[in-house]
Amino acid sequence: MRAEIRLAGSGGQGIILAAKVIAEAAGIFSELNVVQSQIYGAAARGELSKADVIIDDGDIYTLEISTADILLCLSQDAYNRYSKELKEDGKLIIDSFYVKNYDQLDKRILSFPISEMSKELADSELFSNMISVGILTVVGKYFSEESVLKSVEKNVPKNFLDMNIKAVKLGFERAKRKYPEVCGN
Amino acid sequence: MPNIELMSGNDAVVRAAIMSGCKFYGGYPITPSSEIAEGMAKELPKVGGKFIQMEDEIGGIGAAIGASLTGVKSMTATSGPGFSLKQEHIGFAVMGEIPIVIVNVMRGGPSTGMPTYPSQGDVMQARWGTHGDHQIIALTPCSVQETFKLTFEAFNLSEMYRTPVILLTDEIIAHMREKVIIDDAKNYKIIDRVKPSVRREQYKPFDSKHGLVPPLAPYGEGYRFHITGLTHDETGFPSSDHNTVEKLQKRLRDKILKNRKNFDWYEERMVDDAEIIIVAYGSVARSAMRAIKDARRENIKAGLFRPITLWPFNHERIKKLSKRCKKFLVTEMNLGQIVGEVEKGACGVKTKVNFLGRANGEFITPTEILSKIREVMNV
Repeated sequence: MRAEIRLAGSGGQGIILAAKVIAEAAGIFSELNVVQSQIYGAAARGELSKADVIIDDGDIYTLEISTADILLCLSQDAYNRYSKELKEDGKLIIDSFYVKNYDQLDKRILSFPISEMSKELADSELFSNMISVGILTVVGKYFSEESVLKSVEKNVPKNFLDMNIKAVKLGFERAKRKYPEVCGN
Repeated sequence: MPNIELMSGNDAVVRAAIMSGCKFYGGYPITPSSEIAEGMAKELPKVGGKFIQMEDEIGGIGAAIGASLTGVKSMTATSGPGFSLKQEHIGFAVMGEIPIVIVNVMRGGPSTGMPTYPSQGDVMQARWGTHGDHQIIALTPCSVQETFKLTFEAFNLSEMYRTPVILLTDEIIAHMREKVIIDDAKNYKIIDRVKPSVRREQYKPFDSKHGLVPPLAPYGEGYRFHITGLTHDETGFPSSDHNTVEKLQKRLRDKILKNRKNFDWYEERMVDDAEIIIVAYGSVARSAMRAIKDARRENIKAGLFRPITLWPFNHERIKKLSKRCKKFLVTEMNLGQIVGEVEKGACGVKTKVNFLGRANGEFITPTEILSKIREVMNV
């Protein structure tokens, strides 16, 4: 089993933390092998930001992703840049609030108003990344919901833990409700 | 109980340096090595060590050399442009026989080049960047786990042989996160430099009667001695007497080359029946490991030779392998550096040495190596 996951958005959206949470959920709490890497531009905020997580039950030799199994796009720029680098049977998760122009006929797209969900939850877009982690967990099923919750606990600041956990769980629930055929147990 | 953690190559350097007993870091942050400085700044005070951000890279290694002479394990870390600046002091540490670890996280060059993109362009600079005849030890890891291990080895070798040791990593290995198994500190072999057993007034810092590596006294404990970049006699004071210089130069060479068997590390995969052997190191070796597996699936007998100790280079091993295989394919993220050493090793044999390299910041993928294997093997 090899899974290639790419998270993309704008700097400041918490893409790298989300990738770290996923990588530890797979690598530390599910005993899979994992390689997590990212590119970063010179500017910290606003620029296109990308983080990759490769998960494998064997050794990992190919350190780069050519076409993703799961791609998360939290911005239109991210969609424009990376949506072509997706496997034919891959899944593309988009934040429908920011990604307006996309291929409506592409059956691989799973659309959620991620930033709106975050605003409803906490009056802020800060939790978009953890909602995405929740969605991605049930879409990919590479590791359990329990491992991802443990990983969140390890990686987010203690005073924000409750909200982050709520955000991940919101991701689980909404994905299962909207796409039961993909995200069901 | 061993602990498993997810960490980057740079994090692994910090963790292993602290566990090795490093107590001093002098440096100047530079991408893609900055996380090492950040990590050391955070961790050293917790173990009673000192971190100094100096005015530039030259000051950074200078401070680390000075700290080492007081008896503490010291290091610095940098990338291409900073590595260039440090060369003069690396030579001083060779001449003064001062233990120090220099981490160079390679990025695209020359000059400021491409700060956030990977390269293996400093391989020859690691070997010959500082002037004059000298030996140097350089180690190159291909995973985060190996970065952790080789950081220990770098400190140990620098202490054992009173010499600067270069840990040569690249941007990919430095920034990617992987699982690292970290054992209890007591299960790691930690070597400290040999201190003098003679009385203070009898101490000579370069006394060859103790063998190839003379004991090193720490400044501040009453041993008075002189260290200079000039050629010197056993007391450490300058000398241009040809016999004295000859003896010094040979000992400096021999202490590394005659001890080489203790740190001549490499990995071989499927070389026994290989018709083509890929030579790759650092992050590129990971792509090569995949490529040889894929080649075998296509019935191409491919193998891998991965030097872990890059300097001194193991020409003898290449010579042995060259008698077995038909072709070598050297692949590295530069326009041709280690390939020259492989040619040297395979000199006089019919085995052809092929090359796949690039210096534009793009990583070399398994697919590219596989197509080159097919091309070279005419399939």
